[in-house]
Amino acid sequence: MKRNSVFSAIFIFSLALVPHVLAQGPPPATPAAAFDPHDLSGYWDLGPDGRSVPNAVLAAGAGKATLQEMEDGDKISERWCRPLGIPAAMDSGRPIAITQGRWETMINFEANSSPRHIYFRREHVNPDIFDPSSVGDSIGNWEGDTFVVETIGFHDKNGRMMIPGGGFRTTKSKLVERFKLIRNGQMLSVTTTWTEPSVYQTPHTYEFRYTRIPGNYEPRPAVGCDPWDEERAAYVERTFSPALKKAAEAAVVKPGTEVSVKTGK
Amino acid sequence: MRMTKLSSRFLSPVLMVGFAAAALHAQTTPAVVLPPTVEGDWVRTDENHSGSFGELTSSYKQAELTELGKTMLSRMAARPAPVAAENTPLRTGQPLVTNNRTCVFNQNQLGLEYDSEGFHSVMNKEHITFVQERGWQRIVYLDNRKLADSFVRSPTGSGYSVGHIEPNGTLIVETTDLTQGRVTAGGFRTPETRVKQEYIPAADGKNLKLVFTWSDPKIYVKPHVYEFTFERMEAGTFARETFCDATDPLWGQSIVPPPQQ
Repeated sequence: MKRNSVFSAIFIFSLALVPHVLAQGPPPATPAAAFDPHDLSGYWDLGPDGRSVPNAVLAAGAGKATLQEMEDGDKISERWCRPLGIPAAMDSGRPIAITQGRWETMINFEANSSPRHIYFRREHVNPDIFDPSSVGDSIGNWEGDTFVVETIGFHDKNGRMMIPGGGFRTTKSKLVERFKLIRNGQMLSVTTTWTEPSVYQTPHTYEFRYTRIPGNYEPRPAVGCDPWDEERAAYVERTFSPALKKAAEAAVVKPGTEVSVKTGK
Repeated sequence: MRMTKLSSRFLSPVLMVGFAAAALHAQTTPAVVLPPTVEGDWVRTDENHSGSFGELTSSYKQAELTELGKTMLSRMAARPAPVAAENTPLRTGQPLVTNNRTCVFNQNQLGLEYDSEGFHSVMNKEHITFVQERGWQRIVYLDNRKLADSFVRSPTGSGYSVGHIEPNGTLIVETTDLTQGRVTAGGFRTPETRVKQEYIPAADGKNLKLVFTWSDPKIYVKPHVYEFTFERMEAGTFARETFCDATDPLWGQSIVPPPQQ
């Protein structure tokens, strides 16, 4: 008797729940996964519609002859397999890998480029001891949900010089990039601003939007580049003018050539 | 200074509030005590006081190879002879050729046996990335994935690595899929060879011991074990860039002696 009353109670209670369950309708859509707006770590792909790049407003110092000279310099760099550096590595055709650590954020490329070290510091390295490089000296700090990266200290030759939208990098260029996760963390907006009065009349700003690649992605080694491969050289130089070809050949000292070295006292 | 009654009455609650605020602040932003970590910037040390690149590992116990291992090692091309003989004083202005190969960018694969350049590492929840200053990199996955069979991927100079962090901060890494080649102290490796690396940071975080254990019954009579040591670079340090530049005649000639007095 006692057992029957227990079963009856459960049955009645279950019946009472039915209208309530039916009233709820279909289960709600799965809420979007939470993401940490302050963690940029991941693999990011720049798709064909990921570039919003206006034409730069160039200054007198970036005249036609100078631009041609810089473009030729980049072709010579390509001929001799010089690493890409910034800005070219940010759009190399392969994904970028961002690892956000304790003291720095590192960006690695599946391309011929040095990695970027973006240190969580307020001050740049003392320029007296910093060797200019193709990726410069970068410091990054959070402003709300935006990671603001400032880079100076670019090398005068190493790395590609041309900048998307027009103009080129110099040793005096200042680069500010604003990294921000958008679209529920599935997209990374990088708004890039180059400032260099001799090249730009006004700061030149463009935005790339990278798409997050799933977590099981594994980066692959970059394609090698052998400057001493003659067949490759002939292919790369196919579009060179005779003058540029001559300049490219003159740019290198063949292996085994004895080089005189100036020494300090 | 003698305190008046009024000021002491006034100051007492102020001090109490102050202490309370300080205590509260200490609770919300505790002093950061970092556990030992492999993350950061490390430079290799010469514990043996060998004084030269060539002698750095000369005192290491040599690998005990099987007959097959000896055969495979002997088939490897000899390393290029150094341009200047070891320990021969250089003339003034004569460059020390530290790398007598031409500059060839070779696929961004950082080796496991960091040289005198040291290394930099950055870690997040999924992986740790190692780089040296020549643009090469290596990734160790920390997300519990398994080592796949060696035929799944093409072998690389970095191999395929998985790892985990022990409670004391030690990073344990297992690697396979390495390209065939030499190993420190007379060792040899193939894509099937496995190596275990133990990155053991000192309790104070200032030093690091890296223990290698190479295992491959086809090549080694017993596991080949040796260690490297590193010290943490000073706070505020930064990575430099070694630019592989075929047009730079001084590439590979990194040390030029000044005029001798």
